[in-house]
Amino acid sequence: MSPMKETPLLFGPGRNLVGLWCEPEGGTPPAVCLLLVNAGVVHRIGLHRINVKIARHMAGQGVPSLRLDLAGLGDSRIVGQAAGFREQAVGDIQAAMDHVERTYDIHRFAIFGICSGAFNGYAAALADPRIVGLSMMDGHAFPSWKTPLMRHLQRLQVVSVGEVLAALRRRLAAPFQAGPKPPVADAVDTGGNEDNDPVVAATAAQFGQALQTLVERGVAVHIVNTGSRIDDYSYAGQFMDVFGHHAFAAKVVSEYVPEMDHSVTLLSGQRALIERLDRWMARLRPAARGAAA
Amino acid sequence: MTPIQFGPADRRLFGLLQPAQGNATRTGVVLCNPLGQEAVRVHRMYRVLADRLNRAGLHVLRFDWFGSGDSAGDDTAADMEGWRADLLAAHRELKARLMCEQLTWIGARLGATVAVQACTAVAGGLQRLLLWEPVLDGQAYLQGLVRDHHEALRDNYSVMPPPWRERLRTGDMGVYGELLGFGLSEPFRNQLIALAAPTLTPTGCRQCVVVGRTGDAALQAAAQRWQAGGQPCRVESLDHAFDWTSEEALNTALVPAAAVQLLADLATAP
Repeated sequence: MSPMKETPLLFGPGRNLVGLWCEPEGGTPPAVCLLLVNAGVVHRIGLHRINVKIARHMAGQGVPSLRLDLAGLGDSRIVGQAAGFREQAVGDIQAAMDHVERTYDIHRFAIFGICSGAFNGYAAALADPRIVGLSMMDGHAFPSWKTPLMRHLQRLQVVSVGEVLAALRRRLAAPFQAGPKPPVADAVDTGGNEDNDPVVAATAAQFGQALQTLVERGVAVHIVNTGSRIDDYSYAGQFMDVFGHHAFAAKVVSEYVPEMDHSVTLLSGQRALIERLDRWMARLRPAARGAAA
Repeated sequence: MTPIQFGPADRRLFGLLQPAQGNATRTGVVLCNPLGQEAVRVHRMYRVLADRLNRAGLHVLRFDWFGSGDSAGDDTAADMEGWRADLLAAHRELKARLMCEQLTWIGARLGATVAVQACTAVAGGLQRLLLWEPVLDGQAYLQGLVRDHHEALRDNYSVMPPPWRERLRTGDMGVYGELLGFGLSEPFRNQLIALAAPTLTPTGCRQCVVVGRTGDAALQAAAQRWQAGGQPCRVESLDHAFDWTSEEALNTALVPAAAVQLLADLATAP
């Protein structure tokens, strides 16, 4: 791997946001910066340190990155009047881009996020034209009529009759075994009330319209769905089955990766994710460099 | 709060330096992370604890071990000897940057164990050594992590990848170079297996407090042995529902308030 350098940063209007700038040492000036945001309440290193692993890999490919804590998460503090979580998150991502533009003279950005990070990336990409690449893992998912069928088929391929019965027993017994939840102190609201959050609650039509807008703007969109969400997303062609009749669909890279899980728990899954991001970023880099020239 | 990097050029460590607020004392506290997923789980709690210590006039340094968090090094670069050196580097860094005259170390799980091993090398000794559920039996600890790893895979996968499906089916307790999302090298695994209470003896601390669950006989026995060996030591009970390795903090407190309260009280006691 090529040499890289990491620099801790404090930035944002109140110098309240904490991030790690990871850059390749030497080589050609980068065309695009990758932003890596929180997944749930996990701080900027990401689930199982995946953001650190992605950042260092990308630096080896000549791509700098900023992994950051959004205000209220990790080590970043909320300053001033608290905005709604999504508004705050988009503002923080824009503050990160402002800082990178001023400090490193890079003006185009890609953003990657898992789960709530995917929703925040999606909202930021819609709000800010500096974002030219959006990669979302386990964000929105819209089942087709085939989804339940494919789910059952996959499960049947690997599950014995005994395991089916055991799972059924566990499921039936669960309501009688669950104890009361202990109180959560200092819990962080990571996504607001999801029922009222237009980003999370987007319908397939609204999501499709948003993707249309992004693709028309030239944003490279990458969607990854893992084996953890088989109830909502269960086969490789699902995205095209749901959105294939739209013009934008062919331009979106959508991958179903059942060997990965939502938390990228296995190292093999972490490698699979990095390989996919690398391939996607490789498509993005020449376009971004050309556009920036 | 200032994010910093420190340590040798080939072993750069990430830290968060939090100077005391208000009437600062000359006392600093170094917080020692546990291993892997446990460190992710404890991050928020350490931030809340650090803020509380700051308000009580103590300086705090939180940091990531080499091969963990935002520090340099891959997961598999971690090792016990290196981590002992990291802790001593963090100690020197806090002392030098904020002119601390006396230092306390607070460690959780494996972080506490590293602190026990490293404190003997501190010239002049520590003011306090606070150990929350230190790992005193590496073999049992590792087996517990393997069980949690299997549990996480069962929870996270709808359709388990083939090698793990078979390992879980047969109850294979092998580590296979990874645990709960983090790489684990063979030498480090062997170092963990070798951890045993009789080989762990803190020295040179004016006070050592072991915090553990009520009735934890192993912790009681270790504390008694340390006390008998000349290291002032006592045990404080802390029962909690905090799950050290939970993937997404389901059903357990993100910040176990009782733990923050007790550790802060112990660190700030006159």
